Amino acid sequence: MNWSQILSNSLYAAFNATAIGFCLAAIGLNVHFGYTGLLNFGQAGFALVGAYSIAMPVHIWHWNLFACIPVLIVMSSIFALLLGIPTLRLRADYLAIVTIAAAEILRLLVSTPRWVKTTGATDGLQNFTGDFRNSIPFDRPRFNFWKTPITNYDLWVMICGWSLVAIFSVLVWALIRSPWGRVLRSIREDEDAARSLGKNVFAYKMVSLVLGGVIGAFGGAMLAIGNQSANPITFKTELTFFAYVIVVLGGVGKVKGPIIGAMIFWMVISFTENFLAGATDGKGFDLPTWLVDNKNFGFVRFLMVGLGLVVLVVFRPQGIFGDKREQAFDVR
Amino acid sequence: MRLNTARLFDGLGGNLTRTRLRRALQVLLAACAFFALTGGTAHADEQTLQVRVQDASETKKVPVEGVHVVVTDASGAVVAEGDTDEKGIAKITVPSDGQFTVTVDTSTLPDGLTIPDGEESRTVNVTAGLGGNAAFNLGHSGPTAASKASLFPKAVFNGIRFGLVIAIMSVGLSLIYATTGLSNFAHAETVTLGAAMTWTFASWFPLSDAAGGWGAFGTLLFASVLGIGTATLFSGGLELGVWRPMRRRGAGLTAMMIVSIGIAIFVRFAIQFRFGSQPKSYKQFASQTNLNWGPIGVTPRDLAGAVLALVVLLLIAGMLMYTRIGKAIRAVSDNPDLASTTGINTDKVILTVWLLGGALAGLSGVIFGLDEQVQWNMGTRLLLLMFAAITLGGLGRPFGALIGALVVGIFVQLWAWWFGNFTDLKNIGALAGMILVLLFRPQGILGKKERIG
Repeated sequence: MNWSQILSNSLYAAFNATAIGFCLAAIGLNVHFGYTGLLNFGQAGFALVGAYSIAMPVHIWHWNLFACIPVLIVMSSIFALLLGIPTLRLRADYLAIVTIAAAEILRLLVSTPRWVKTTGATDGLQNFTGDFRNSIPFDRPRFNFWKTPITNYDLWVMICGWSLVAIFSVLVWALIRSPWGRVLRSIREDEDAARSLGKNVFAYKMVSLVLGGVIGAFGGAMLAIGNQSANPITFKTELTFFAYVIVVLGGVGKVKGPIIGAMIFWMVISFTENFLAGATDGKGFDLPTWLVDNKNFGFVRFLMVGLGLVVLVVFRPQGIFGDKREQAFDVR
Repeated sequence: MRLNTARLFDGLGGNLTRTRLRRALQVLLAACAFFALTGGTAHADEQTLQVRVQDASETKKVPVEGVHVVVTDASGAVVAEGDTDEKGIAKITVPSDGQFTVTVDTSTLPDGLTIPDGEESRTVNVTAGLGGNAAFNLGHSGPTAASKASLFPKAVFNGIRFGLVIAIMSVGLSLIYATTGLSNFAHAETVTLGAAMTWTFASWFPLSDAAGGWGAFGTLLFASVLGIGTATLFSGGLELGVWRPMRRRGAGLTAMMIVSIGIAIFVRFAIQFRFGSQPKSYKQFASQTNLNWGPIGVTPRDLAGAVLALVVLLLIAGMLMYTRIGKAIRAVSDNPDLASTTGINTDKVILTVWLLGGALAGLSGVIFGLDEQVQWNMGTRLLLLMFAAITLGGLGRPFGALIGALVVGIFVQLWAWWFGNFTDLKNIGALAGMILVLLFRPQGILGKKERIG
């Protein structure tokens, strides 16, 4: 087993496109869940809208990739409005069930072979990243991230992606400490009290849903650009719950929470999978095959996510760096 | 200029042209498909064109064997032909690289499968050294217009059967919601656990391998007692080990709901980890011939499942209406505090509900596993339909859940009947219907008219 290679890969996993995509999805979720107390279980749907709103115009009409960014913002806002109008007046768990159902509906719609020419069905869409590739400023084609070889494309994804993370984090930080953000947090703490002070709770929740949804859509777009593929498998319900683990891990209701959470989350997942890959390959040190083998070690990440979610919420709901007073659990 | 993979990768300090080529190659490799690479002139070397035909009507693609594909060149002349193997792949040797058209012979498709209009043929670029590939995704063919009407009674009947199965799971989920306020996402895994453990016990202790007969029946009965028992213990164990301590600590419902999702993910993938990803049938009951009554055909096992589901539902309804514990459950779901002041042991009632819910979920898993197959994600696929059923019926109303489940079941089957071509979309109708009901009647069909929010 090559430990320095495993460590290098795990460290890279804290910074690569997947970490960026999940970090953005978690920032959006933090706006919904952490600051407003909205139980959005459909962040995968927002990410899917983001990925397909940049992939489909390029695929169908050969638009420039960067010209699709307004499409992404408009489409994810529309999705948020469609979800919010029927459910934001209802109890919190109605929103949860409607958002998870809506995310599944979207995923089924893009997976069906009926519209394979438009959506690529289960294979997804691939060749839409040409404009992003042409914008790479480096001549050198290959770089090394410690011991992990990466291409200039990966590096450019990382630079653009973390810039987006920085922009949205500053935006969220500024909004949350504004009077508007204080109203959001008061809705999270006590919706009726906020309403009795004359605040239009529905409108505040709706703006929060749109804002977090747009950020989540950017996350989906970064995942698609990073994988060079907009694929329905990426946007299963698991994406939403990975994002929940990330938010809770880093600290609910903290600006830096999703960033730290995403980095730690993907570092741990990548380390485990790299280790298990090395420990099941039949060379050198191997774990017994009745325990884990090279066919099923890929499921271990889901076991860790499930267990992690339970343990965190039960024993440390404020996350690693969170503040116990700033958590969205136990509101209702 | 001939493209050569070995040359493309040699050295890192390549000149501009090489860099471009390498970029082009990265796009190709990453996309796993070979688009628009026209760098090479026609070459006389033989190339391999890999054609994949699969049934994409379900979430998991199934390879389709024995489909005849024809490859023609730009002038329309046939250059090669082939049939797909058991992996759904036909490896066809074409005389050169360049552009070819791959056409599926639709007459060789298996019954019930069809290819979407305009998708029968596809143009493929075959590249020297890399070959080329083409994938064809099939869907389920819809019945012809004449036979469609005659299939309507069958669709309704299947809808009722499906609805009854969903009803057993939803009643448990609804009772849990009514007494504890928790939307239990792990209920889906209780369903899967019941079915998967029954399958495991049946394969450990087979009394008989024969299809049908008392030996097969005894095997299934014995295994399902153990399997449903596992689901019951799982559900009750969660109440004792997780939910009761959390309630004592004053944890909120949001936290509990997220914990239930964590448990669901853990158990679902633990089942996949141990049980495997492939769907499995209860082998003694895997193939049965239909009993035919006019337009409706049903296998004895599915008919027995539906009758059993109906009987169980009537028993549950009777229990809730007339027995002491049933009245206590209704009292706790109406108002836990008031129930506990009248001397009802709410913890005991809630534990009963979890055990009952687990047993019902396990039973429905076995019935559904008999009807279709046992798979690690079978419960998850039904979870949203369960939520749709209990939302339609009014959250926390067990009788509402029953009616909601029948509506969902019939709606799903009728949707599949109407849009026969793409039955993979059948769940969309029920989910979209649920959202629409929330828009216009948020309290559901049987829900109390009160302000929810």
